[in-house]
Amino acid sequence: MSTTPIYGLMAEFDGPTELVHAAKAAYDAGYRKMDTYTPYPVEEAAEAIGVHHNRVALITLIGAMLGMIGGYMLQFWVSAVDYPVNVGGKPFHSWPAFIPVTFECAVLGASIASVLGMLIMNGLPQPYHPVFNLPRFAGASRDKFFLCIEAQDPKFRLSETRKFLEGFHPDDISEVPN
Amino acid sequence: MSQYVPADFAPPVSIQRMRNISLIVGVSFSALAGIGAYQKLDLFLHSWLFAFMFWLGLTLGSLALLMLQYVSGGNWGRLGRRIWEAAAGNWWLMLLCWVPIALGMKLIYPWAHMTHDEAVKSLGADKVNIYLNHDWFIYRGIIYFAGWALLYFFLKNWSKKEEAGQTTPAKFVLVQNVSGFGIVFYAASITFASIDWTMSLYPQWWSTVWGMQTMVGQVLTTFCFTICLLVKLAQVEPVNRVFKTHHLHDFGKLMFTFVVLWAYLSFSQWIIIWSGNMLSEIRWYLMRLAHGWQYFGTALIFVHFVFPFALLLSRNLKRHGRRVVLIALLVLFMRLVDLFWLTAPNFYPGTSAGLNDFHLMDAAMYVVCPIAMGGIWLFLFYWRLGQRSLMPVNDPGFAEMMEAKHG
Repeated sequence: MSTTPIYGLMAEFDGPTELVHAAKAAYDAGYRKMDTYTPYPVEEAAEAIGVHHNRVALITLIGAMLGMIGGYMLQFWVSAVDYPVNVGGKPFHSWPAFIPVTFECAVLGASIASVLGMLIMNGLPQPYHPVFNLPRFAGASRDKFFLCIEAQDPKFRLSETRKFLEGFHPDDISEVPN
Repeated sequence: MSQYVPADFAPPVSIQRMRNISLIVGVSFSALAGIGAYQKLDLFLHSWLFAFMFWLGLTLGSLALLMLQYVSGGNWGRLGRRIWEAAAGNWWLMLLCWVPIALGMKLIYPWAHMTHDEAVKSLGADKVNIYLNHDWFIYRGIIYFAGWALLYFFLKNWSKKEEAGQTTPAKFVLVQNVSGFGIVFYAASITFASIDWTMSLYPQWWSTVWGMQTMVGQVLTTFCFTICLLVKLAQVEPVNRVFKTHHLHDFGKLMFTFVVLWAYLSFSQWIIIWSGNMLSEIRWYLMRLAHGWQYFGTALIFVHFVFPFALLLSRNLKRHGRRVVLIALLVLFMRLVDLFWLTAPNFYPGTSAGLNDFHLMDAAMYVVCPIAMGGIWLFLFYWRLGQRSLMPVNDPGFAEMMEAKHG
């Protein structure tokens, strides 16, 4: 038995169906600190371990609101306060003319906020991650599907968790060195 | 060949019940509409045109989506295919409903009411001689309906052959190619049809986005209708075996897209005309922004766009059947309000008249006609939907769709 602290236990599966099945069962069994690794996006895998409820949506909404308000106020200030110009006899504060730019600014604010929010929330860029210590993990970008239950999970017990994962008949179970 | 047979997805008995209710409602309201026509023929024709544009939207929106999903693929298209086939089959009902409009055009369209000399003076000789005259109004209508009917028959025959297992996935490319051509015909024919049937209610006015706006409205109507029906059908066998949360999510996203597209086009038209501020163009809006009509226009901004837009942004809401249906029903209702706001003000043109001339009888007819036409439309729709399997089991992508989404 290794005495060095490990990052977690990694189970390797042949297909997405087996992976999602195992991930769901692990979530139901009370594991929370875990992650799935797949060669292509498998939305159900993300759902199975409950990562869909994050704050990126809220950050995007806030970005959109700020862009919207900022875009409108900019036009209002320029056209009606700082440098009023009579265009076609219309009022200085002509809201219909401001709508397209307001909309574009909302989209701009939303996209910037969602990219930045995504990067902040998922911790990228990350130059080191323990899962790459495992040679077999290279399969995650080819044709293998991985579920890693992390040692930090309060429910994690090396032997019990290993037994739990064995119940799903993975191709391989490895300890991930930290 | 897939491992499924059409009998696996036989329609539920509840369709018969919905069909019978539709027939009763349709016949009784048609009688009311008939009484209205006898009392006040011009009012009947005006509200009939309004109802016609709504139900034509559902018929042709279905034809358009049927062709679009052959070209684009996707599970949403396989789920909606039988619904759109059954709806597009109502083209001949719409042709029948168009006959009173063609016969009564003098009571509907100002250009049809004028003498030839008056029309030339008001609209210009070219416009009247080449386009806006009685004969060509009818010829064009026949050409549109003939084209839609041809497309429908081709797609229906293809679908029947596929259901009987007489096609191969390799031959699928034929129906895709015809659909691609069909979409072009749909776009062209709706552009002209919308000019003929709604834009020419105010013949001095024009808008180049009108046809596109009509198309988007038709497809949006169809998406809302499809969502309501699929969620209802998915409560029981056999649709509950296919229609899953992520499909509802897809339909929710498509409805959202078309809500935004509708707002985009409606707003483009408004901002261009508002910026130009030309006497010939702005009158159309001035008529709709006074005498009570402005409340409808304001409601359109907030209830047809802002409210559904804000709610449909939410991912969780789009995956919640009952909530999506409530929004779809609201947007369906707002489609009616939109068509009402686009057509009805033309019939009350007095400078101070507007809604003051809109009496109880007028309101009643604008409610009765859509229900009368809709009852008959839905009766035929459910009747056709109940004839066949609800899912295209021999579609090349069907087996893949039925494979359990991982876990």
